Amino acid sequence: MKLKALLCLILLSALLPVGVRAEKAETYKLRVWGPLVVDRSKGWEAAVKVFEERHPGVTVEMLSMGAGGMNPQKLLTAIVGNAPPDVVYQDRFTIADWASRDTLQPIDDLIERDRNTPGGVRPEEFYPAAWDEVKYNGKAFGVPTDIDSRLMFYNKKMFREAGLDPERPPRTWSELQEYSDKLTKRNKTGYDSIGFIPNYGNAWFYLYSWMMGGKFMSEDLKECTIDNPKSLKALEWMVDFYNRYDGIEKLNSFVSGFTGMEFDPFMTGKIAMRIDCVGLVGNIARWHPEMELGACLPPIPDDRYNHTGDFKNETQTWVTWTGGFAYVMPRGSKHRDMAWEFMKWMTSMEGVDLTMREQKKYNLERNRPFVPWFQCNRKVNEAMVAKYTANIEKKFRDPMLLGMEALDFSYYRPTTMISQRLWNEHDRAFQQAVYGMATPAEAVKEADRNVQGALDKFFHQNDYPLLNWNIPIAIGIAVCLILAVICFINVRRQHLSRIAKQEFGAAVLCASPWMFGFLVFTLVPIIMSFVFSFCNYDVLHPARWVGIMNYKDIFGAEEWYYMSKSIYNAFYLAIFGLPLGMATSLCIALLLNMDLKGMTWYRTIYYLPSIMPIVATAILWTWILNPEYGLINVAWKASLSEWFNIDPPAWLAAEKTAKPALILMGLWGAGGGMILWLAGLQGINRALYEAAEIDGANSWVKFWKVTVPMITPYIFFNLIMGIIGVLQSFEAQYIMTSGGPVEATLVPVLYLFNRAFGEFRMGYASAVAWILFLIVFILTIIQLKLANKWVYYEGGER
Amino acid sequence: MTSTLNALLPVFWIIGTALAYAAVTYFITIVQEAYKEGRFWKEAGVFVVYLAVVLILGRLVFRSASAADWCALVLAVVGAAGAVVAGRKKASLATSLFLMSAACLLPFVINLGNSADPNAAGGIRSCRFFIAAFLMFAGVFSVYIAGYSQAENMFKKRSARRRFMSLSGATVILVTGSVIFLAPFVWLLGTSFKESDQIMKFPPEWIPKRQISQEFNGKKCPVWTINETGETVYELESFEDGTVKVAESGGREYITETAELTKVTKPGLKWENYPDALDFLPKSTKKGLVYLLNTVYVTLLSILGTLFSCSLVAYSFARLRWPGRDIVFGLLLATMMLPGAVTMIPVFMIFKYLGWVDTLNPLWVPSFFGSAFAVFLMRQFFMSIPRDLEEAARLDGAGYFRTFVLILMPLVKPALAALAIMTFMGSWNNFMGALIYINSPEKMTLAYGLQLFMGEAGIEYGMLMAASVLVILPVLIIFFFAQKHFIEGITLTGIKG
Repeated sequence: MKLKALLCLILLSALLPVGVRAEKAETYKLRVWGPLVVDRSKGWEAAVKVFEERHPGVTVEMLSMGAGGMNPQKLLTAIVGNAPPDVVYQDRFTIADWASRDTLQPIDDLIERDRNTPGGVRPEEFYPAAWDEVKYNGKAFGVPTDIDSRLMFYNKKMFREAGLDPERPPRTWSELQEYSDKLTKRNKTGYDSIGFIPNYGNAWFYLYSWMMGGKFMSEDLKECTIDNPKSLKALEWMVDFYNRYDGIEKLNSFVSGFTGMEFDPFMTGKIAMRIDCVGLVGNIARWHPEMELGACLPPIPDDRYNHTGDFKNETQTWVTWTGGFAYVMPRGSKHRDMAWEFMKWMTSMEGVDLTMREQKKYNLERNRPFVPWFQCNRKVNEAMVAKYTANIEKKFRDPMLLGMEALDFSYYRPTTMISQRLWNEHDRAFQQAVYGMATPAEAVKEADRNVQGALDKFFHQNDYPLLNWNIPIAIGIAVCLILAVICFINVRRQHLSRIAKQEFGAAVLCASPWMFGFLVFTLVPIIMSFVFSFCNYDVLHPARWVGIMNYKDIFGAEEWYYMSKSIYNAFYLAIFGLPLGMATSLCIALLLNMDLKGMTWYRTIYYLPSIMPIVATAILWTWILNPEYGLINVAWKASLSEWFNIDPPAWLAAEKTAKPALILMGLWGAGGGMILWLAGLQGINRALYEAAEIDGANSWVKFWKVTVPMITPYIFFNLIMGIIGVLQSFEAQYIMTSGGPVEATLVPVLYLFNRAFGEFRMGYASAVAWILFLIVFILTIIQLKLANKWVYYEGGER
Repeated sequence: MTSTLNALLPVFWIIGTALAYAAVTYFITIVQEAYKEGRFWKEAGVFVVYLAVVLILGRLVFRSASAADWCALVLAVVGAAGAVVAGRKKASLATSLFLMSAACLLPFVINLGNSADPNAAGGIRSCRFFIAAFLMFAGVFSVYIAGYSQAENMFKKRSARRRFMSLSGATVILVTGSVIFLAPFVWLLGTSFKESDQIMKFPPEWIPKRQISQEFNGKKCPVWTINETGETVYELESFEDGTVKVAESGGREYITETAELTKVTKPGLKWENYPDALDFLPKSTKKGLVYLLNTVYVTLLSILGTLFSCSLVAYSFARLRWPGRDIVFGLLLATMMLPGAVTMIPVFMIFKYLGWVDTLNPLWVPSFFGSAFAVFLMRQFFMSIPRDLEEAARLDGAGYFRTFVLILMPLVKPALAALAIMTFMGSWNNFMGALIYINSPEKMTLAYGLQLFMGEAGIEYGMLMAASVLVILPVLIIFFFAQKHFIEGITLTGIKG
């Protein structure tokens, strides 16, 4: 009866979502991804509303789809899966990257068509830096919307308190250092305040390299030049700066203690100077309007300022750089014209004015000041800045005007198809150097080699022959046929009786769901993945046969770093985490096996953590492990720091403690393993204990001589499954650290996932998967071999 | 001097914990004995009178804010002294309760230095840990002496005594462990009800608090105190730039910065975090209801699929004889070793080929084709059932499927229940599937929706925790009611091959 009710419920619920999904036929949804900037959302909403009114039948759905910016994995899977959004609000410097993979649509025809209409897009009206960034191979792929330049912001109050002239900010690197020293105040365990951190805010190695006159790419964009003496000098300067203040780990743990705008260390007077986008002004006005804000162009090397040395003939003294977003149209967008209309509207004078007006209205209603943001369209920008900065405080207006001036001489990142890679590598070079894992020279050299490798691969990708699917399919079919024949002959040879034949038929029918599943979800994928591992494949283009290149790449210097790191991390987690976890869960199981009262409660409590959704666990533990406010460090500070003066670790924020932090989090979920132990413990024959007691064994001896041998099959099972589990762990790392800091928590599957769904190097990722499989396989075989020596099976049979 | 003593403190704590264990043992013994001899209530009454007298005396004598602390000190000393006496004689319940009170009230003693004048640092304040540790040491040690002799009286037999000691030891460890395991949950729940400024407070507070509002000039106004003077003021209007317009009770009004003020709070819950969190979701998700429905849909179909396919397949492997069975079963076991990563990419392409990207299908369809682990569990369970019934049915002419449905299915219900719950947990929490396949908000599941939400609401921890609580809640409820079936199902099945 109950079963029937359950069945009804299941059927009913299967029907439910159909109702939810039903949509009206005559209207459609224009899906826009990526535009959620909280402080602009009200303006956007208003602009979208007007857009919807002007285009009846269209509803616009705006989604952020991923932490902060646009999650590339999400967008790629959507495009590949033929369910892309219609418009994407995309970081401009990656457009060449996406366009080179045919994931975006060129929109030159639309621009040409509408260029003379009132709302048309005319490239010459845009800042050249912005328009160049949306172009790839001579085609335009998007409409740039907002733009930003970097300035140095500083806290005038802190300047005054340190005896510095608040109206005379530092102009050169040596002045910057001198100011920073004066503004930094140390205390017993760390800092009360810090003057300047080179890469805090939005400066990056890019900026300092430009300042020194370095370039990351050659003019023709075919060669990576990140390894040049000028950039190297810049990097060395950055590293020196960090080391002046006891290195990046100390600084990071200081900064990471202040989360959110409310506690932002710059706005709350913990950091005195910061290079950041002009957009920071809006945030300061919103969160800490009381701050005495000053702004200037970022300080430059002394030689550049004085026009001496390398910079004797340099005409451009000041250096800053710009970036921003553009509206682009992914391939397969279903409503091309409407998407175009939307892009035009959101960047038009009218649309922008409406957005800002409404946002301003909203802000003023809440007593928040409104600070506009820059537009890529020069005409629109000048009008908007004039209109919306007229009535704001001078301390906010001045940076805006300065920032706008800077747009004319701002640098921008090279528009290459490997821009994302270049970005990642330049950041990694910085990280490597600053964490002392490589000298700056080694770091840039490695980055150069990696980016060049990617470039070369890109230019030679069409040299390889297309994969002929007929060959693997033919081989597959042949193998299947041979297997089928062997099975048939074998079965035939056994001369089954009629009943046995019947039973055979029933058995195969019963097992058929799994057999089918095995075929479709395991066997075919395994073969496919094996074939792919010898191919270059990005899902959008046909696969190309590259032989063992993918495997060679894995062991090549560039990828081996990540691969070895991820395997090392997995083994670290397995070697330290697994025994700890198993011991903890065994202890719990032993205690729970003691016939205590309230067993149900204990069991529930200890098991609970392991049934938590991983996302919730991750959110909770990110907070618990927070270096400043987390529960663990609060307890630590009250005890260990107090008594022994041991500083609390920064956990996930520091390279050394990130893995222990994950292990700690894993221990919390150790109750999950307890159930299997309980099963094992309860399966032990009581007589064995009684016999041991008669022989005078105490509980210690009983545990080691009876319990442990009897549960060896369970230890074995847990060990094998545990190692497989660790080698396959992914979610916690993906959500909490994305593999950082400095790949300290990069695990094989996360690495594979990034390569597969982040870069869509399916062939390469398949090769990684096979290496992973090989490792699991070898480990399992070793364990099976060793198992005979220590695992005891009751009855002596396996 | 004090710093050395403070450094030694962990040693005191370790010894103290060990002795506390003995004390608990002793206490349980005493209570049990008192019950048995019917003098429990009488003695408890004596203790209450004792407590009342000490407290009243304390109030009368000291009359200061820290009177309670001094009482605790007195109590502790008296208790410790009593313990020494009790160690020699056969202790009564009242005496033992005195002793326990000494131990229980130690936290107050630890607070002793806190409530003392903060300006008198260096003296009592800095060695408060030492005082506390010493008292604990002295008190508990004497309790231990008393307890051990008592336990000896009670259990003449050595083995019985040992068993009793180990049981109570286990209880102490289990309770301590429970507190540690539950702490993050409590923290999560607490935070989900907190105001954002309380979340960031250092040191952290466990209990959510809200600002008090009081009637002022006929209007409900939030209450603050001025940091410097401690005077109470009423907030008339707050501005986004961190300033508020306040009024003194005398009527003077002025604008000041919130940094100069402290909120007057009392324990209270900020329920608004929950609706706020739901409002934050995209409109097309109908305040997260769509997430919930999608998750329920996927979960139910997954359960149905797993139960159907795995029991059928396991039946074939466990109960039917067919050539090649063991080889195929070996293959099945081998697939458990296969990292999911190997098949992840091709399976994505298969679903892409089927046009199932951005649908819920990839999340539940595979469950209809069995999972190796579930088949394995079910097979083990089938193996443990005697064959007699089944053979009888077969003799009566029932076919294989009839036997399976009518005879075996009812017998494996516990295992099915366990499997259903396991699938529920797995499917409810499935994150990676949704991450790879789902793009539209109206098709997302809770686990993935929460992650996206985390990215967008990064700053608002209160809302984030509220959302987490909402996602966890169904799992908790189901687990709580089903845990007996679940755990027993797995325990019965075992994994021995």
